[in-house]
Amino acid sequence: MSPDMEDFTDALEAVLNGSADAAQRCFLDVCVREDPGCRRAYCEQMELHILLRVSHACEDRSVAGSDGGSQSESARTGAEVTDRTFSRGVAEALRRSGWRKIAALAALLLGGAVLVREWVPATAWKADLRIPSGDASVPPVQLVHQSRAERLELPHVLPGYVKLAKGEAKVRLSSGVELSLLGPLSLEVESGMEARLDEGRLLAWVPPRASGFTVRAPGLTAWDIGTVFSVAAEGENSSLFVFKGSVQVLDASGDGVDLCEAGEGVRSIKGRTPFKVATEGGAAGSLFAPVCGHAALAQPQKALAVARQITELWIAKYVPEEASLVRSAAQREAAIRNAPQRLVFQKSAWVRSPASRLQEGSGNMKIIGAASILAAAAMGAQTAGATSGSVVVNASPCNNRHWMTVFTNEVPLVWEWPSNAVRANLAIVGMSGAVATNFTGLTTNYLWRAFAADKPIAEDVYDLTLTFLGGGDAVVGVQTSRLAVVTGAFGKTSVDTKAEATPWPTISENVVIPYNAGWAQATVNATNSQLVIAKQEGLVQTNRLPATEGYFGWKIKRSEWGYGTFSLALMFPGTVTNGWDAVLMRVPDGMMIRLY
Amino acid sequence: VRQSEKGEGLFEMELAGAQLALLSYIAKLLGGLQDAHDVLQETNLTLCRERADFDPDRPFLAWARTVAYYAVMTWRKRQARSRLVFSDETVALMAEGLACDVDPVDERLVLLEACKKKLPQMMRDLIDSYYAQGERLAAIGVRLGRTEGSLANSLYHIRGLLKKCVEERLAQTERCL
Repeated sequence: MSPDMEDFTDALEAVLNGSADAAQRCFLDVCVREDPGCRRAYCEQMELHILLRVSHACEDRSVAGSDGGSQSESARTGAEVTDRTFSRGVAEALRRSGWRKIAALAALLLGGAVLVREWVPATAWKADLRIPSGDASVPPVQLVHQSRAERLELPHVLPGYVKLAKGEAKVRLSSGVELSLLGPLSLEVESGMEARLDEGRLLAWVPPRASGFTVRAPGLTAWDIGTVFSVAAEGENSSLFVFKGSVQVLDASGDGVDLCEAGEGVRSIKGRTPFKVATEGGAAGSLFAPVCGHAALAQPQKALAVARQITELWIAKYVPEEASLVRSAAQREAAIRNAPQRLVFQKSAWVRSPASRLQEGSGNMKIIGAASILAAAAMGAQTAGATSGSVVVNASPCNNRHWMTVFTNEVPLVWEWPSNAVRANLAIVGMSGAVATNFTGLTTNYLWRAFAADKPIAEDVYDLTLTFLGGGDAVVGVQTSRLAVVTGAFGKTSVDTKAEATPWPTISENVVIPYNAGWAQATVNATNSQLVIAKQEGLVQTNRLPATEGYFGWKIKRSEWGYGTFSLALMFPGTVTNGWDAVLMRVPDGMMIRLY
Repeated sequence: VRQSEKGEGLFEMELAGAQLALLSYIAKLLGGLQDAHDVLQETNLTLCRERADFDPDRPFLAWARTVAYYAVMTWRKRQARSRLVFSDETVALMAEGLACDVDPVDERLVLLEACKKKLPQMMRDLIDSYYAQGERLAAIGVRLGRTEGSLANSLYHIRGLLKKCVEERLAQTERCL
């Protein structure tokens, strides 16, 4: 909730219950006078406030009447008393005017809904509120259809659990609500009108008669008003997205997050306030169009994927600090769904044959990868075309680290200035800091001081982005590069050759992780690579690496990772379904004592 | 006293039927229910006194609202400025917007009952505590371990929710008619 909105609800509530101070009255006055939206909201809220007051006061009177007026005076509300005074006043006014019949009627009417209710046939009330009752011959959760569903379990009585290991299934509840379930999933159905999603994804269609259907997920409660919406739960995080109609979303403490209409949703991340997302912009609109409305029901998988993509687009734009978290959650979900059967990997050393080295040598630049090509050709860091005095030439047919590694504390960067560029921005972003430089005229080189001392204190991986801007600040070109600072390039480094040694058991700082598909014969022909970092019982981050060899910077300090045990898996998809594994621990600074 | 034959008894019906709509109108202009009952009473008295001007061929509510507006303004003049929620300008602006409001408030009251029953239990508990038991937000907050601001926010959303539910049901009713 924005601060203005918070001020508005506080002021409104204070005015409604008569406790507003001067500042709150002034705030509401200005808001209602100046802002038509505020005026409309105020009028709507006031009307509901009155209806609720009248409605409850009448209920109290009904109760008092039915029990012979035994309700004690002290139990009566202030509203009731004022209503009674009010009705007496009108009755008196009418009596004075000589209309006894209407005085009696007014006294009744102003008593509230006792009379109002009598205007509605009792059958209409029943019809309005009817939810199909349970039929002993019909199971409480009926299977409508399934597709490649594995280990689907449906409850025979409620409350009970629906479980689905894999695939898709559609079920119908006694209320008429239909749920498309995507495995793996665990759903507790409490009644035909309430369910709790512990894990997995579902798409709900709620017919008008079941309006009010409620789904709870970690951190969120969705209260439906006749609609099509999806809910996804993963660990202690969850998300919701509406394809048709409206859903009121509450957070874990029962506070309203907001009312979501079609194309809107809410994302809840443990420890953070849930926030609303929306379909915004052409790209999101194009994504949403094919699954808008009932179309989502025909393709639940696609609808859920679109919901996730739209949420990611919104978060990347408006909540960038959450973006990595959301991506990692999505990747974890995908990783779980698509997890291949992992094989035992043999980490025995192998020797590349001379033939294969020569074959690769002819295509050296191809296997270096896009980032390093740019480093060489566009932003030459110590390349053959650089203007620096000393140029390092690496003749190795493969594993040419000079395109990606820093060897001096001052790195000359060289590029060609596009003819249509007016100015340029250079951004150098590493784990431990960032540098930004503007070039206001034709510039073709820049001396970047990567670190102050002769030798680096810490290792880092830097992403370099040079953006050329033309007239009107239009982007006319972008060049990127990635350069690593590794301490081993500046002197001796310790190597533990003992086979039984436990390398790298703990970490405390940001980490530079080298990777290379050429470490094993089985992966030498890999075309891409990924590093999955999983915190025990926590976050999972799948990093698609830009090449089959290079350095990955794992920022752990001042990140969401925190302390604990981490599993790292380096894989080269497309070659074999196995990879390199490591288990690391990060403990808080200080002495660690292990007890036996 | 002028009273057309066809208007006999109609005034009473109109007046009785307009009470909730008038209360809503007055409360909106005053910024609360606290004094709205008194102003409504004044309005009713004025309407009764001016019954002779009642024209059954013209909308009763519009006439009654005009009378209510002057009752509101008279009431405002008697109050210290520090008690008023809205400025004269804001009241005039709102009155203009509400003058032609034809919302069927009474029907909403009926539909509200159905909508309340559809609320999740925790929401029902909150509005019961606040509206039925007359419990103050501070007391509810202590009991539930929540701040007054958070409860105000919840009530705001619940009312918005009920409003939407009522509107949808009203639209359905109209479609059925």
